[in-house]
Amino acid sequence: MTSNLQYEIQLRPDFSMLKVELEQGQKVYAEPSAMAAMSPNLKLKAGFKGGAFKTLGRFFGGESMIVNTFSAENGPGEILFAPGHMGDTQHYRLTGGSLYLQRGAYMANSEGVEITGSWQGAKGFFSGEGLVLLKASGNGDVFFNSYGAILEIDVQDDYIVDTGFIVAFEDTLSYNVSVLPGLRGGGFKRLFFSGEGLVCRFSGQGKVWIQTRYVTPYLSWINQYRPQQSK
Amino acid sequence: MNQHNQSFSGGVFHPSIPGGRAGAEITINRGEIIAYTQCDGQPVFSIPINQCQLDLGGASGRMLFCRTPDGQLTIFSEDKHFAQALDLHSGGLLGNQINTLKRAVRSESKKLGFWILASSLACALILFIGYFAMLWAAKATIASLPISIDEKIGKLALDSMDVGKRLDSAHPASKLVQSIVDKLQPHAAIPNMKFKVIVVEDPQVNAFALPGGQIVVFTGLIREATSAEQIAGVLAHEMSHATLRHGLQSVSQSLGIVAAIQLFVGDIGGLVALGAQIAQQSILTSYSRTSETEADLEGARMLHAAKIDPQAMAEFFGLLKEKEGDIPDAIAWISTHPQHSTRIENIKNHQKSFPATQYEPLDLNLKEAQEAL
Ligand SMILES: [Zn+2]
Repeated sequence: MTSNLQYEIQLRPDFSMLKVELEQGQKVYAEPSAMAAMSPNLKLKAGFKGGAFKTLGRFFGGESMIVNTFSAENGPGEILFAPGHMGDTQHYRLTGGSLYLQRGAYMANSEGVEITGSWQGAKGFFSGEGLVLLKASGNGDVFFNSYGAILEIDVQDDYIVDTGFIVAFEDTLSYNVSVLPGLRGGGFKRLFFSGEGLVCRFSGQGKVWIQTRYVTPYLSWINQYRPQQSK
Repeated sequence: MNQHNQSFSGGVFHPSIPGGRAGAEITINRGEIIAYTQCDGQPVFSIPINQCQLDLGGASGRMLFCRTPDGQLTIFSEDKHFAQALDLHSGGLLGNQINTLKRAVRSESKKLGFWILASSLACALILFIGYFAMLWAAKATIASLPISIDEKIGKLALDSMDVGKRLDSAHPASKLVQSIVDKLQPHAAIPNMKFKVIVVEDPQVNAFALPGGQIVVFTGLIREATSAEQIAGVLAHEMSHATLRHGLQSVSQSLGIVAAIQLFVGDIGGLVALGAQIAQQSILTSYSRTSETEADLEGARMLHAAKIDPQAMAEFFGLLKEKEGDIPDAIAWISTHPQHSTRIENIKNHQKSFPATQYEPLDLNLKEAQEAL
């Protein structure tokens, strides 16, 4: 059993920040851009973690190939991680199972956790940008972030979530990607290119975390106010 | 192996667990499925096998869930040996349930197999398109490079090649060939390419073009030709290899596009030498079939533009085909230029697309040149 990380998620939910207190000898792994501030005695090592195939898996999962390792080698220290966009941060404790993370949701993890790309087969292939997943498994802490606030849903039977709103879900849930019933027909282009209108139907027992905002509609809303580029 | 001590990694759902879920080590013992968790309150959970309701699911589709009839307690594991162990310990109690699940898994994996096949095909298609996109990119890149590069490689290739004894440029045979080249030159696709002929004393019925426009013609070819127009046909074909820049294309294919571009735009002496070597080899072995067809059609166009009947080119292929038997060397040009009957056909068909022209016979004395050899 690995020792839990001491952490605190501050300033929730809009502009959350994760503070991790590392004890002497502890390590935390994180997305390269996530580190915002740290004690000077922490040691940073940038690099690939977990061999070529896992690295490649992460790459296909839409995450950076490089994971930074922060270790407390000269006494304890603290470190602050910030998500790349406004939104909440969530902690999950892995106890031998797995957690699936939506592309871009991964932020940090403790020792004992393995992050791999997860080949989704047809499910990933046809979901456009909507559903590219990373798989966190092992024993330890995982931190992930959302765009907007995070809502935890305890699925007991069936539940439908638009793929753009999924942040993470537990391995005990089975899932199927499909076009939102009622939107069927003419969905070919949508299916391949935008991922819009695609939903994930979860069934079984487990938790799903969804974000309260979806970035694509926001981008198209903001786009109309962009100043025109002069030629 | 002691089956009773086999343990599987998995988890438990139970309302007493904070958050409802905990990881667990699972064993099967004395007719019970037992899960050991790290929970503080109640750490051990168990379900009698005869009460267990099995279900398959999870994100992987291969997680086995055992539920109590009231649905309060669930013990699950993704371990593939878990189902086997359950079957073994259930004494036939779960046999039916397990068989039903096995069938479900099989049909799922069939579906998965289909998707793997479909995705592999899609990948292959992308690679295939990618390959041709690369070829096209190489071609486009080569087209934008200055001819001085072709000249550099061609010169180096020729200098390092032992082609044999060269005829003097004042020799009637050299003059004949050069005057055909001069007649064709204004109709070449690259106006500023300088074509220079080298006639080499060799019984081979052969000719080849180097990148940049140097053309080597063996005396065997001049001897075997029955008209100056036939020589013009071969020359037009070879000149087309130069203007179509096939030499650079094969260099770039052998070296890889990146190295080829480096070679073409940079001034890396070693690479130039390597490029020249590859150019040499590809010229002496043969170009790709596509390149040959391109050179045939472009050569026919040049001949037509120079008012020389393109039929002469086809005629020469026919002549060589006939002579294949008694003159072993006659096959040299043919062996590097395969499929002559198809090519004769292609040239004839291509010629139909040209506007009608009055072809003019070449005012050259082939006999005199042949006698001087
Ligand atoms: Zn040729």
